[in-house]
Amino acid sequence: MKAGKLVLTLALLLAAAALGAYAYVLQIQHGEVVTGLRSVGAGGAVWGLYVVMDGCFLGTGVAVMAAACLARFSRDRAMEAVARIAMPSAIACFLGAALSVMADQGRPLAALANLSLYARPQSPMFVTFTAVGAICLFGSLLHCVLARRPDLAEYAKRPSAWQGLQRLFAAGYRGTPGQRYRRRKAGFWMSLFMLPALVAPATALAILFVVRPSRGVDGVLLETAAFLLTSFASGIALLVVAATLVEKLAGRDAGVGGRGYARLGRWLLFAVALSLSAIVAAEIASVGSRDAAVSAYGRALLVEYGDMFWVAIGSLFVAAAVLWRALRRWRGRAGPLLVASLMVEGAVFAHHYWLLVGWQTHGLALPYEPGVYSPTWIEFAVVLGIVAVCILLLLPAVRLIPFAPLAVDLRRMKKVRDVRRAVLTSVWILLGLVVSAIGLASSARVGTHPAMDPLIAGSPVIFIVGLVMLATTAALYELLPERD
Amino acid sequence: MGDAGEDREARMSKRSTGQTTRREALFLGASAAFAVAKGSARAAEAKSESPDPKVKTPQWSLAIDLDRCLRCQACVVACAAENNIAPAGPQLSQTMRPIHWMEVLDPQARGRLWELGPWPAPVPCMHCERPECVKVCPVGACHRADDGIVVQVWDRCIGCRACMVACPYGRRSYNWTAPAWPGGDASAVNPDVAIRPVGVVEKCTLCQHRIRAVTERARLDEEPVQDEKILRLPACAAACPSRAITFGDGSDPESAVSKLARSARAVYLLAHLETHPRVFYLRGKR
Repeated sequence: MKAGKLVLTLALLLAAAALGAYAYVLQIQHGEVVTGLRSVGAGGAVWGLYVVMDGCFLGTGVAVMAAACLARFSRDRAMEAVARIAMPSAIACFLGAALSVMADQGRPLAALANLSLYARPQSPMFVTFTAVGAICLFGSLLHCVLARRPDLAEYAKRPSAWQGLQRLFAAGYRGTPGQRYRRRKAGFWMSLFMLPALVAPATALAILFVVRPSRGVDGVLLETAAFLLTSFASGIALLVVAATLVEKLAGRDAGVGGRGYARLGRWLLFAVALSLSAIVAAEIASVGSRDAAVSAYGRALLVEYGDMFWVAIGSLFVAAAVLWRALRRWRGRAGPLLVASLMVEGAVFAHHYWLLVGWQTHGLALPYEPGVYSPTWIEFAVVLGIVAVCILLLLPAVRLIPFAPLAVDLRRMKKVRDVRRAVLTSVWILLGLVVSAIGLASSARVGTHPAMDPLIAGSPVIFIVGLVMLATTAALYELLPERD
Repeated sequence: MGDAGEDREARMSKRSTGQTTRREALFLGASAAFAVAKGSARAAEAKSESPDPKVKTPQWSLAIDLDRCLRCQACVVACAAENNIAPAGPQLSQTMRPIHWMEVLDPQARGRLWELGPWPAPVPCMHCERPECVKVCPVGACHRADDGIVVQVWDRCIGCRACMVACPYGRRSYNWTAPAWPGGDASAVNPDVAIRPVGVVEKCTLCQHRIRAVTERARLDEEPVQDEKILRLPACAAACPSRAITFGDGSDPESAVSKLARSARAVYLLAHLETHPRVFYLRGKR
């Protein structure tokens, strides 16, 4: 990118971040009366754009990181390139999710303090709070650095402003056959650990989005499936967008190539087809429910939020058609994929919006007046600021760990038997499990009354520390110095 | 075989000299850990129990007789005055952000019937035995007290509004802005009830401060709480001109509210959700 364009992009991003910060200060100063949110039952929705964006960010981030983990299992160079792009994109998404949910809190500082001290595992928010912090953000960051250490070691040899940090992150890496073997093994186990750990916050979020006390189980299951599948589609779509952007910035060096795009396109088509089926099935189950209230709610959604619903369905359908056509006559061009991906992102936002907001305004069990919800400029500005902050933080990270790979010949590996390393790693895992179990048990008020504080103060933080210890196992295994 | 025999002899000799074997040491350690864990669990259990096990904790309950109710909204006004609910004013009312712990709902507004028929009815927090709001609160700011009242701890609430989303009755309110009284004069507020800050959720407490005062007085006088003295204890019940609201101990079979709960006229809102509300309605012929 030319210097002029870069400066302009940075200036625009900084302006958006400043506008977001100003809007948030206004919200803190006057209370959430400046947003479009209203009380449920008094004719509004208490969860709006912030929570919708939280769902979009977290669902997409989980899907992107899961795709990165799956791509690491394959030895395909194109998929490795996809994984390289996916990891920082996922971290930016998780950061966006954390900031969105903080923007929604009535008392953000009290939220940080009280969640650290008293968070309860019985609440779905416990999983999102602990898992987003420990697994999604920290684990993904660690996974990203570990995966790129060979490249960092090569980059650190070149003079640049980032050389010091690159040396620090690549410290000790000499590319010996033993190190290469351990790196692959650590990467494999880290990916295996991350996959189920990522599913937990996504599922907890899906539950928060779809479970209503007045809904039947069948409708809820279908809507949960629709939420998770659309998030998966959104994640793949984001990967296509990010890969196109990176290829444009870094040229062919990024290494995605025609094969990588074709594979991403097939994944996206598969995810879109599944999402469409789940959304339609959930809506049919809702409208055709034997419960009159649920059926009435399903019909109200189609009427009141019809534009959103049909935009989501229509966009997914058109995206699927574009993808089908592009993949049948594949010419290695990313253009149609990019168009389809942007349509999918729009559709997923619309789907999450009517899923979350629709039932609050029209799905109440008692005879309240139907509500309305329109986000104000404050909410739009805060969300814009969050997106800008995520991109701004991503830019130095991309400079620190560029996408283009430098390390070559990863095939030469040598299995080295190292009992000391294996024992230390096992002890660390055990310790991590014990610490997280103690934190979880104490947070769940084991040994005390459910209404009382946990026996150990700050037990949610202890649980997070345990998860972080488990996540650092791969780093310990890989970074422990060799015995000469 | 010979080695095993020698080992056994060595262990036997250790026992005879009073020395502890490794197995015994491990067993003793495990027993000690088990005893400590059991002891701490018992201590915690004892801590959570009521101070005097002979004193039975009441289970407060509220009955609203719709055949007596005039829909005059005196209960709504009394509740707001008693519990320091700041007047919404034109701005908050127009933007649909008023706070009502008790509200008269009109089913005809949506053209649909409910368990209570076509007539409007006052609806406070239902103080469910299985409250959905308690399940979802991430920080334990909302919990069910031993006396059955679903309590909201203002100071711990982080304003995530998960409880508002979870409550099937929609009976929770959020402080969208800082509470303000006309002319900025808050001198008329009730000193027994805290003023909630901006960014927290609030709800009906069944006038817990009044209940505490009565039960504490009875404890000091070493007398049981008399049912007839608490029938109109909450502000809504006290203000009701037609005595449609009855309060009492639902666990006492002789209390007026228990007798009403056993009558064929008792109706529970959204009973199919199995939240087991402790606030119920009476409708039909007396």
